[in-house]
Amino acid sequence: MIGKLWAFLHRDLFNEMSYKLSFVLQILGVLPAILLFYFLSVMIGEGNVAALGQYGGEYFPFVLIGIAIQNYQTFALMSFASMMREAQLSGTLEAILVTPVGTAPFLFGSAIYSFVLNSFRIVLYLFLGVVMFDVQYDWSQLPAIVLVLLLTIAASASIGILSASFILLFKKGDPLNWAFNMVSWLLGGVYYPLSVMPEWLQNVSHLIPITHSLEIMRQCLIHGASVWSMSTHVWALALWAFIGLPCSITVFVMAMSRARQQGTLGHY
Amino acid sequence: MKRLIECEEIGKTFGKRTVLRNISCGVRPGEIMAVVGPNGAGKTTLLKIIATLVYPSTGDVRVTGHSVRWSPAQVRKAIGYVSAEERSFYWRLSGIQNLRFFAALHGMSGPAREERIRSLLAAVGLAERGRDRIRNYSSGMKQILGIARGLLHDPPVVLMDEPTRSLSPELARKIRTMIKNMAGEGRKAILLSSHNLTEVQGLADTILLLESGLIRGWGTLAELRRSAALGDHASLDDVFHHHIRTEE
Repeated sequence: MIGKLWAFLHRDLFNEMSYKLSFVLQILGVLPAILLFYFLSVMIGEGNVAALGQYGGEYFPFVLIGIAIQNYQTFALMSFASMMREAQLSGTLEAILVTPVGTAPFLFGSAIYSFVLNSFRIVLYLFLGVVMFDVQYDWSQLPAIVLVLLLTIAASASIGILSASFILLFKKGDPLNWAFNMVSWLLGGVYYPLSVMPEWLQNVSHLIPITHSLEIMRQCLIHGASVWSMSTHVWALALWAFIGLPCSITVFVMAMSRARQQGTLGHY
Repeated sequence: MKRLIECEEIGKTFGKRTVLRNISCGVRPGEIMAVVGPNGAGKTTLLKIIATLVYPSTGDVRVTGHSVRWSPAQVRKAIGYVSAEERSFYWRLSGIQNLRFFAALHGMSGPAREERIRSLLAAVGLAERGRDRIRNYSSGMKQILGIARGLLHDPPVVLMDEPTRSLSPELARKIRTMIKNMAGEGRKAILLSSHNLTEVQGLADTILLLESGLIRGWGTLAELRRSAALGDHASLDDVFHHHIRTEE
């Protein structure tokens, strides 16, 4: 398993590095996003927004966590379907599936490069925030934070894998990812606290994994709260991860089987 | 000797279109079987069913005793599949990087993998171009890299879909010799499809004649000549046109 994941990582790293400008821009893209939200937070000012009170009153540390985690979720949502589509278009899908690679190494191998790249980006977001803008985060809960990140990825990956199943069968057009990303972006509390939304929308937002990830991350990093004091949020994420992931892998296996029956694995 | 590939009454339909009907045949170790037939006869579908890329609608295939229906993972370990599709590599990676990736999917690693890649590239005449990106390869070079990929894990069963299609006559001869030598070692069963009847006549031990998904003949060239009541000097081309009524 490790050797196969490593092979996928090598493949995508060398492939991405062959597009030198794109590779550099993926890393540099972090900086304008940080600047944008920094200036926005300067405009908002400190302590002027009551809804930010429970997050220390400052917008910049709040939103920096938001965009970093959203970045992670977007990768988990998008990478499976986009790698599937790329494999269809490049004609490599059949060449891979004729080897004894196995469903899990194939799926997770296809996403591992994005995982590594986005882990680097999330560190970069927070690092630049701390170094350039003197944002103060509490790192005492770091191991638990890593665990929460892994749960976030697993929860979002379950939707991403469902989306890859859709691409496998229908090739183009992916309403699932689009809808989930849009709902997370709007209702997850990435750019504004949930308390600014009507109560019924706040209730809907608790169905989305990123809502729970953000709440845990912000309370841990801004207030140094213990992860275990937010067990409801941890359980919600774990539920998504431990139920959603096996279900989505099962759906993917069924989609693969259907494509083999229809003889459409190599179609694009 | 027990067959390494055993097709048992395979049928395949896509929607209302039947592409294979009751195909039963087999290939023994050391044997080269060629599948020939007009376009749309079902040659590629048959190869893809054996390679587990397409599931049969009826019947089953056993590869080294493993069913494509029930043990596809075991079947994939036993086969090397050489696709007719040149668009199956990562064009921005080198030949060696591509082979390393696919070798890793077969569980190969370390010096043994590097040595295997080196010897295969030398065998197919790509030793000097292994570090070049695939996008700089000609169609023929991609084709022979595909053959090297199919042989990476030294599989007992090799499936080749039109293996010499894009090759120059010289390179095609080299690949034919390579295929002959592989079979000559007596361990591998080789199943290939081809439109080149002269090539098949010189290469194949047995021939499967397919037309519209039906077997029109299966056996050695001598057996096919006899079943067509043709003389000992009849070529495969004569036999083909006797058995296959459809004009291409």
